[in-house]
Amino acid sequence: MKFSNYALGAVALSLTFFTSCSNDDTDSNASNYVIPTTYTFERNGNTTIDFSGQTTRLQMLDEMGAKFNTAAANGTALDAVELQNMFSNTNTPFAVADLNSSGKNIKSKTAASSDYFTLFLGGGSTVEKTAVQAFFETQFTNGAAASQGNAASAGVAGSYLDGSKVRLFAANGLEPQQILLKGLMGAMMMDQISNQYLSVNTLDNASARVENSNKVLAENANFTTMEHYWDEAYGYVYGADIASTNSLKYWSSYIEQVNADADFNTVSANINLAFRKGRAAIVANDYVVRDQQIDIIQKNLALVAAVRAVYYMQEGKVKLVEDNGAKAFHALSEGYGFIMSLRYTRQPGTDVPYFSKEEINTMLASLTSGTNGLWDIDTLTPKLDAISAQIASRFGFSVAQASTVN
Amino acid sequence: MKKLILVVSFVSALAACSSSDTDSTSQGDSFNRTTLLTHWADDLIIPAFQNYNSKLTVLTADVSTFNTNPSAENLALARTSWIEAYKAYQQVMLFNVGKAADINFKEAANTYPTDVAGIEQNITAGTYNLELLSQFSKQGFPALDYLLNGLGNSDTEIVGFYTTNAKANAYKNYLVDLVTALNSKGGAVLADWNGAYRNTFIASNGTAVSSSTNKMTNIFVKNFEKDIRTGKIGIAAGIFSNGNLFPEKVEAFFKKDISKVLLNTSIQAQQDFFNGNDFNGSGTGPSLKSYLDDVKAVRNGQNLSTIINDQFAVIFDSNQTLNDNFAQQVSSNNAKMIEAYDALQQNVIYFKLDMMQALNITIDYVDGDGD
Repeated sequence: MKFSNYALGAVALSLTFFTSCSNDDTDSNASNYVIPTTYTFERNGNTTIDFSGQTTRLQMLDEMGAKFNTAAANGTALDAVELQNMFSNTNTPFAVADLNSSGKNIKSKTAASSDYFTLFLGGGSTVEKTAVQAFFETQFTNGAAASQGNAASAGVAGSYLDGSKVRLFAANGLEPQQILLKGLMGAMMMDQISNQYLSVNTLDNASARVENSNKVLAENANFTTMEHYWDEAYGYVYGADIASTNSLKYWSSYIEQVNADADFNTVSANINLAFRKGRAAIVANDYVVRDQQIDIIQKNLALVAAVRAVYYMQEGKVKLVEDNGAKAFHALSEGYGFIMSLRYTRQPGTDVPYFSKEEINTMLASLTSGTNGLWDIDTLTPKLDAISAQIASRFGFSVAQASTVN
Repeated sequence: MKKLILVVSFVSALAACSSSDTDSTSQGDSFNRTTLLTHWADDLIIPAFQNYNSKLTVLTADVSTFNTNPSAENLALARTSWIEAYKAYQQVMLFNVGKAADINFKEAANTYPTDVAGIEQNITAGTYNLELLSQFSKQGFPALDYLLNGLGNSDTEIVGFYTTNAKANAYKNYLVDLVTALNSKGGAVLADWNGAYRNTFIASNGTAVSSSTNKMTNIFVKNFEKDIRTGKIGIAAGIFSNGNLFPEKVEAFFKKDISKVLLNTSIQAQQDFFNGNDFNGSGTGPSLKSYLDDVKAVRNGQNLSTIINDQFAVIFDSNQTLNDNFAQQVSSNNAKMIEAYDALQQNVIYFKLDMMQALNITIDYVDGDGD
């Protein structure tokens, strides 16, 4: 059984309905333009693509993640204030000077999409946004507490030698670095992609649609505002990749990891094609096709998060038998972050995520509900299975499909 | 499993189609914009400016009394009439059309935080042109707040600036000049309404972007979003500064205990305008509410106008929990400010998306965001 076949059928069916009711749009003229084989778009011989702001933020997150690695590897204290400064880009905290002077920061794009956190779609609010930002900031102090020289054990924040790599665990066993990195793949990247830039509320806002149709360029730019919005979504997926070394980061990397499983081996092509096709459609003023690509990206990106969440729950489950469970905590922390990410997904054609904020919070609370959180390993297995089943069934794949890459 | 996906797919397809059903709908528009604009002008806007100007007259007299005889008692008198005028201002800030917009009425009357150093420079210099754009942060109610409440830690200290201080006369002059400037602008706006502008405003009864209904409705939404939500709550509560709090940027920072009453007064004015309540008395007339009902605007099966009024109730309930002093509220428990912000934001959403769509009015201002 192949998930992808069903998924394609479902998408096709959705699209039929979708098209049939969008009576204010003119017919698609998809046959009149070329979809490039790579994400390359030009006007008057110059590129129209710009996602430098996204690349900047992903590089910022890289530097933040590396701080945890360095502190863990060297046995030095992690500086929570420094991480806090990096999160909001204050006091020139980055080693790369361009990041300091970029005018960008991660915090202001954390749980900050216009659809969920300004228009309050998907159950969002400013209260939630503030709480999410504070939650990430807690990871800095948790990481710092874990870097004070203690060995991690039940109820004690500290370090753990995981094979050849030292990891920092909070007192409840969660790994602050992974919560930060995977959590922000959701709260920043997924949210900005699915609920900001790939939202018609943004793409068609104010005069963006009229300007795009008439190819009125943004100020001092070679792109229309709508083209740029689309690029910004693209940048949150692929913006930190380095083609020359085939280095993939964040979603781009996890898309490939999920795609490596035959059960899901169309997600990479689906997402990549949809980005190119949607961008070409914008150039050609074909908003019907554009909106179809939005659905494909939102759906497939959510699927990647779901598959990965289940994968890590199951990987962790197997490793619980080692080192009083500590061997499992890295995987479980990654999974924790991917579950967080599901809150920022977008069900195509709706205003809501695949899992509500409340459902996500219940799953996350369940994971750490034992005495000393993850360390209560005897209670974990049924929780991991329940969460896995809950996610898998919502997306229509099986736990077995996600847990084994084959 | 196949069945499940098909069901999900149907649901999402339905949801995609139904966006125009569940969202506000507009079913024809035969609404009489002339009577709407006439009601707005005659029963809401002009009486509100009359009230504002009469409050300024009292303030002028009390400031004059204080300057003649600077005492703690007369300071209290001037403060009280300053508060009354400041509240009356909250009831006219919404009407930023015509002359008011031309002469930067709002900016001159209520730019805060006020520029204390700039005020002191003006006082020392003794010459200044309050008409200049660069002077907006050195005048109006916030500058009066500083002069009446912020010069010292006690009434005695404050009165000292107008008696024993070497620049006592300059302080007095500045006080008078600020009140005079407020009077002058308030008077100019009212005179224009009493003159030709009323008819101009009403005659612009079409549906163009520049028509009075479209403009006024945009101003209604923008005032609620920018001047009330952002200005009175959001900025101080760190909503636009990555969580960095600015208690010193609240309205009436020096008086300290009237931020809430000013906020509530401004919101009440918005709700009264929405419902078409006469400024004086308890009469009502055509309004955004009746317009929405006329076009049968609904959201999730409920009248949009009811939803909006219900949200106003939520807003007032939420504000109930706030300290009178917002600087203190920000410092002690900012979460309450954020909750109040969210309650306001919910009505921004109803206004900006649902109401504007239902009335077929385009938002004429944009929020820049992105990179």
